[in-house]
Amino acid sequence: MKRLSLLIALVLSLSLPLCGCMETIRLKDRAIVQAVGVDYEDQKFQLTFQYFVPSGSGGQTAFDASELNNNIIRSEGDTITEAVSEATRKEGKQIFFGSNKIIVIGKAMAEENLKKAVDYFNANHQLHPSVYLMIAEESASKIVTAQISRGIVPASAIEQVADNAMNHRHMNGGRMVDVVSKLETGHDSVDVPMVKLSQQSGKPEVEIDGGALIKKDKMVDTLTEQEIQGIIWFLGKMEDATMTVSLPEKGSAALEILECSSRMKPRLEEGRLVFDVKIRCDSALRELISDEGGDITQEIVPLVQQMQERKIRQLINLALNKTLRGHGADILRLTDHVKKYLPNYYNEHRDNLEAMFENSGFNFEIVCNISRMGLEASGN
Amino acid sequence: MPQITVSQFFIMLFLCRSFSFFTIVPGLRESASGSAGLASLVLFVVFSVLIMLPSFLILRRQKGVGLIEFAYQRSQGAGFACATLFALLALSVAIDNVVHFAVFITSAVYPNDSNVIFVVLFTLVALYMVYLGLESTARFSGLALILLLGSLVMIVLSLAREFDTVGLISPFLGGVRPVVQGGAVTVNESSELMLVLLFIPYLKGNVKKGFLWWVLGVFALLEGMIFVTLCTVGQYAVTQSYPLYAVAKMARLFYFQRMDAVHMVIWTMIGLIKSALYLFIAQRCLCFLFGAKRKNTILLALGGITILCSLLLAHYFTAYQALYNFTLTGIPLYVAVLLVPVLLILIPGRRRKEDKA
Repeated sequence: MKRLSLLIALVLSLSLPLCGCMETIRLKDRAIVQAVGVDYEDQKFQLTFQYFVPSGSGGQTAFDASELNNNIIRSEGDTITEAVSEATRKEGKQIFFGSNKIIVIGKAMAEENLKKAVDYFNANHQLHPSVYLMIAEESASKIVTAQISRGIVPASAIEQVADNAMNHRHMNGGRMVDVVSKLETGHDSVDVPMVKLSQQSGKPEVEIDGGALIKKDKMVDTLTEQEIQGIIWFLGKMEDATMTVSLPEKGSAALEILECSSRMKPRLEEGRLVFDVKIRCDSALRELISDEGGDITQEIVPLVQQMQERKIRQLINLALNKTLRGHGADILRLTDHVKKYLPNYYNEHRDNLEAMFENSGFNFEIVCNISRMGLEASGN
Repeated sequence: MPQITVSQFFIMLFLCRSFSFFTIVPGLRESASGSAGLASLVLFVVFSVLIMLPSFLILRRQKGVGLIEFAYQRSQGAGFACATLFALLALSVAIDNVVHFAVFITSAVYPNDSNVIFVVLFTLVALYMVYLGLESTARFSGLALILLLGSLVMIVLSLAREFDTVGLISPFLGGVRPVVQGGAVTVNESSELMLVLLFIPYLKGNVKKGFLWWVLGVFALLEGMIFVTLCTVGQYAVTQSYPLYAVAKMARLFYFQRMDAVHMVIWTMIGLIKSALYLFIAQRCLCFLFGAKRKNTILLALGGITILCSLLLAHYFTAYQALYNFTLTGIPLYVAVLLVPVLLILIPGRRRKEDKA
C-alpha cells in the first residue's frame, strides 16, 4: 500500500515539470511577424510590422484562406529595439520574428546607413539568416502594408516573388546572410534587391526591380536589371535562367541556360592588375522568332552562340561601368580573388585596393555552347 | 573499479572536445580564424602528441596505473598533492563547462531568461549521470556520437550548394604568428589531455593508440567544420557570437527548416557528457583523500560547489573571462600533463616491503 502511494505520488509529481521552468508566452499573445519594414525619418526609426492574424481581415471562421489574415502595427523609436518594444506595448502582443519572411528597408534608411538597420536583425536570435532582405523604392511601409491577395498573408506573395526572381536569376543574393557576409568582407560593397509596388487590375502587386548599390553601408546608386544580370553572369550563377538574343536580320532566339560557371584569376601585368575571367555556359535553344518563319536548325547555332557571347559581354560591361568604374564598388569579389591568388600584392595595397581596381583591366573569355535544340524538325 | 574500453573513453573525449568547439565565442580568445585556423590545427596535432610524450614515457612501465596512482607509489604526500590538484582542475573544468553551456543557451536561444534554471538543471543531470556510473555514461556517448555525426552530415549536405572556395586563402597571409598562436590556443583549451592520464586505471585496451585516434578524430572534425564554415557562410560567421550555431541555423533539408532545435538537443547531450566526465574524475580524486565510502557525499558536495560557482561566474562575466583567459595560457594543462609527471619521477620511489626486509 505504501509503495503504491509512493508510486502514485511520483507519477503526479511528474506533472509538475510540464508547467515549464521559464516564463511562457501563449501563441495568442504573440504577434507572429511575417514582414517587417524599416524606415528612417526625423532621426527616428519607423517600423512597420505585418503579422499573422487568422481572422485579421474579418473572416468568419477561425482561419479563412480566402482572406488576407494579417494586421499591421506601426511604431517608432530612437533605436530599432525601442520601436519593437513600442510595438509590443501598443498591440499588447510580444513581437516574434521566428516566422518572418521579409525585411524591407526604406530607401531613406538605406541612403542613411543600411548597417544600422541590418545589425539589429543580424543579432536577433529568432530570425533565420536566410530571410530576404530588400530595399524599397520609396518607403518600406508601403510594401509591408500592401494587401496583396496571393497566399495566406501578403508577405507570402512578396516571398514568392523573391523566390521566383532568385530562381530565374533576376536577383543576386538577396538574403540577409548574403548582405551581411559581403558587408563584412572588408570592401563594404553589396547589391541588395529593390522591391517596388505596382497596380495590376486595380490590385497591389510587388515586383523586384533591379537592385541598390551599397557602398560603405550606404546606398549610392541603383542597378538596372541588365546590370544585375551582368553581375550574375560575371559570378557564373546564371543557370536556370532564360535569355533572348537578337540575331541580325534573322529575328531573335530564346535560350535557356542549363549550366553556367565562371573562373577568375588575377595577375600582374607591368604592375597593373589584370583579371582573366573565363565564363562558360551551356544553353538550350528553345525558340526562334523570325519574320521569315525560320526553323531551328544546326546552321543557326553558331550565330546564336556568337550573339549570346556578345550580349553577355555587354551585360558584364554595364555592370562593371556602374559598380567598379562608376563607384569603385567591388560587388564582383575582386578583393577575395586578389587575397587568394596574389597575397603579397594584397598585403602591399590593402589600403588602396579601390584605386588599384579602378585602373585594372579585364580579359574575358566567354564560351557559349548550345547543346539542345528542342523537338521541332525542319520541314525541308 | 568501473572499467570501460579505450574506444568508449576516447569517444567521450571526442564529444567533450567537440562541445568546446561548437560553443566557442571567437571574440573571447585570440586565435587563428579562417584559413589560418585550418593550418593551425596541424600544429594542434603535433603539439598534443609532443606534450603527452613525456607522460606516456614515464608511465610506460606502469601498466594500468594512472598519474595519481603513480604519485601515491612515489610518496603519500605526492599522492595527496596530486589528488588535490587534479580534483581542483577537474572541478574547474566542470564549472567552466556549465557556465559555457548556460551562457550559450541564454545568448543564442533564451536571451531573456535567467541562468539559474539552466545551471541548476544541467548540473543535477550531470550529477545523476556520475551517480549512474562511468559505464552508463560511456554507453550513452555512443548514441550521442551517432546523433552528432548525423547532424553534422545533415548540415554539410544542406549547405552543399552554397560551397564557394574563394574564401580559402593562404593561411600565412597575416604571417606565421597567427597560425602558431592558433595551434597553441587549441591545445591549451584541450583539458581532455589531462583526463587521458587520469583515466588509465579505468580503461581496457591500448591507451596510446586510442589517444592517437582521438587526436586525428578531433583534427578531422575541427578541420571539416572550419572548412565548411569558410566555404559556405564565409564572413557571415565572423558577425556571429557562435559561428557553428549560425551554420547549424542555416541548414535546411527538404521540408525541414529551422533544425537548430535538434542540434541544440544534441549539443546539450554532449555538454552533459563532458560535465559528467570531469565531475566523475573529481569525485575519484577526492575519494583518494576522503575514502571511497564517502563517494556519494563527495558527489553532492561537488554538485553544490559547481552550482554555486557557476551561478557566480555566469553572473560576473568578467570573472569568468579572467578564468577562461587563464585556461588559455595553458598553464593548468602544462602543469598537469608536463610538470607533475616530471616532478614525480624526481621524487625517490618508496622502497618495497621485501627490499626493507
